[in-house]
Amino acid sequence: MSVGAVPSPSNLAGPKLRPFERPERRGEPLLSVRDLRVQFGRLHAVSGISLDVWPGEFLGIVGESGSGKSVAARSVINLLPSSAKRSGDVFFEGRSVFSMSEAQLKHLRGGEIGFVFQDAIAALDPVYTIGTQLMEVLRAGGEWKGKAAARQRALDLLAEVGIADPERCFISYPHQLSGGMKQRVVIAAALISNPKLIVADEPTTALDVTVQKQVLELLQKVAVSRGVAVILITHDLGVVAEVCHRVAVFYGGLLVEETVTETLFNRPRHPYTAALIESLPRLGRRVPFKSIPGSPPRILAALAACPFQPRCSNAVPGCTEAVPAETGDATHRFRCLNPRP
Amino acid sequence: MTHQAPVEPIIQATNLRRTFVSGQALLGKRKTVAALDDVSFEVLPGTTFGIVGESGSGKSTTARVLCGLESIDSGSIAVDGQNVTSIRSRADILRFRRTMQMVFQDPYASLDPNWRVGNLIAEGMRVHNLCSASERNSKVAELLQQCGMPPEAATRFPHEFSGGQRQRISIARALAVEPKILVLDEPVSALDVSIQAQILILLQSLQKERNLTYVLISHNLAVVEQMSQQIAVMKSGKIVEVGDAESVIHNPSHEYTRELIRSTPTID
Repeated sequence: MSVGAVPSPSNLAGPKLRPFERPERRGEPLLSVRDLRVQFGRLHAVSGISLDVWPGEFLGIVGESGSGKSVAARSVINLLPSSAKRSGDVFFEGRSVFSMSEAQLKHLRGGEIGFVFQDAIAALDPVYTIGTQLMEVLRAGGEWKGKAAARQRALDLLAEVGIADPERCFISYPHQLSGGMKQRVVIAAALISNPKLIVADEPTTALDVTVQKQVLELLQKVAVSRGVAVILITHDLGVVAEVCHRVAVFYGGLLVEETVTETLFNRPRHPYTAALIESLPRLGRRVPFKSIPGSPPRILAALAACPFQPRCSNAVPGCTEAVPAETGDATHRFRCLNPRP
Repeated sequence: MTHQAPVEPIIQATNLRRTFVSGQALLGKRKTVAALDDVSFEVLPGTTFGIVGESGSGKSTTARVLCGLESIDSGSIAVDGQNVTSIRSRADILRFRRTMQMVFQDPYASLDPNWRVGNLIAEGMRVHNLCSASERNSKVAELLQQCGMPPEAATRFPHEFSGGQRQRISIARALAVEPKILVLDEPVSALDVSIQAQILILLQSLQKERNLTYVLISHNLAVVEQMSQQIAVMKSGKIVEVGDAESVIHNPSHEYTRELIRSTPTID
């Protein structure tokens, strides 16, 4: 950060966020996505994505609208509409999510995997109090040990997610809470079942930056204290840079680049990643930003070329002939015929 | 700053105050909220004045008040020598509208879906009787081109275009009456990251070509910094800090500005 003149942090906001130390990878990945393809009618939303997440890891998925990031995230808990045509598979702790029964899926969703959506307002029912809704999650999760115990559990969770007055929040209706508090409540609901993975789809996009920072801090805190893995889906490269260990960049339904956060920003290999970084106005640095010509594609036929090729300044003749295969190694992979050095 | 004292400000807002009444009137719990609380600022011609703040800070109310879309309780606004607060006659309104135009955040909501793009852009020219009907088409084509759109777009409808293209159409529409000032209320917030830079760069080059003055409202501090000579930071209806962009970002004097800077996610 080049805003060197910023004086010592206040107790209001604290220092800037930074990714916490990445836990050591042991054993098998928690989640494995294998050649996932999803189609809605003519629209190819996801065209062959493979991805692993290890326990305790904070993975960022970044992409623009139509990149397939949200569809991929929903596939993780098999939450696609029945109109979706899909192939490939998702494995959670080695079990195929796509071959699970409804009962098994119920245990997975809101059980082993917690979900946090962008729109906290839509995620909460306006006619029930926060307490009723949290206790409902406990009941549905089959963890019912009586009303008093459930109430205590809900209050503990509200305290854990940083609600200053849990008792008052417990009896409040969603409209009485601020956007940031609602998102905290949604995170509390996602934590009820002690999940091993939290999928957060644009959890802070609707929030002000100062509140966004608090919510991201909270996600980091629960990731560290509970050892839970987090997949953070966002369009904001800044957010990714500040909290994620590893980043997967999506474009046109493909994972075009994946590596550890620092490498992604210091040495992006895919021209799309590089162009996206250059298009960002940088705070505290008056470097001219460059735009990417054209707009993100809607993929209406099976991919037969690199989806970024029409907008790419590095394109070579081969780019139109086939979808580039994945190259690189386990720590840095990308799909590009003419990568940057 | 390159602008020396003798240059007269093109916008002069003095002690603006605007309150809204909220709360449940039935239970007697009416509360007055000051959306604008003693807001004063000046904008020099040909520059960009950035207003940054979070939701509820009053930045959008400032934009709407400037454009006359919202009334003020007290204070005064002078735009290009015209006292905006006392505008009554149709002639005054027309004059004001030719001086200042607005570009809104949501290009999906701000363009009438039943109108062809050409008509949308030409509407201002017609209202202000700027040119003959035969000239209008070529002017529309010219404006579209300047905003990076093919002239053929004129015969199509807004829904046929992407968000970024629609924002280009909104800008062309605003420029049709050859205003001196554009008020830009979150002009790129609804757009994809790779498209935001396109629109910002377009706005920068149009400003240079036409010597436009911008009032840029945004929640994104980095966007405001890159575009503006002067920045005002708003919180709870007040300007808590105002100054040239460099000093506000690198040497903020208000604690809230520092908090905003620390909270803004960066890749550096």
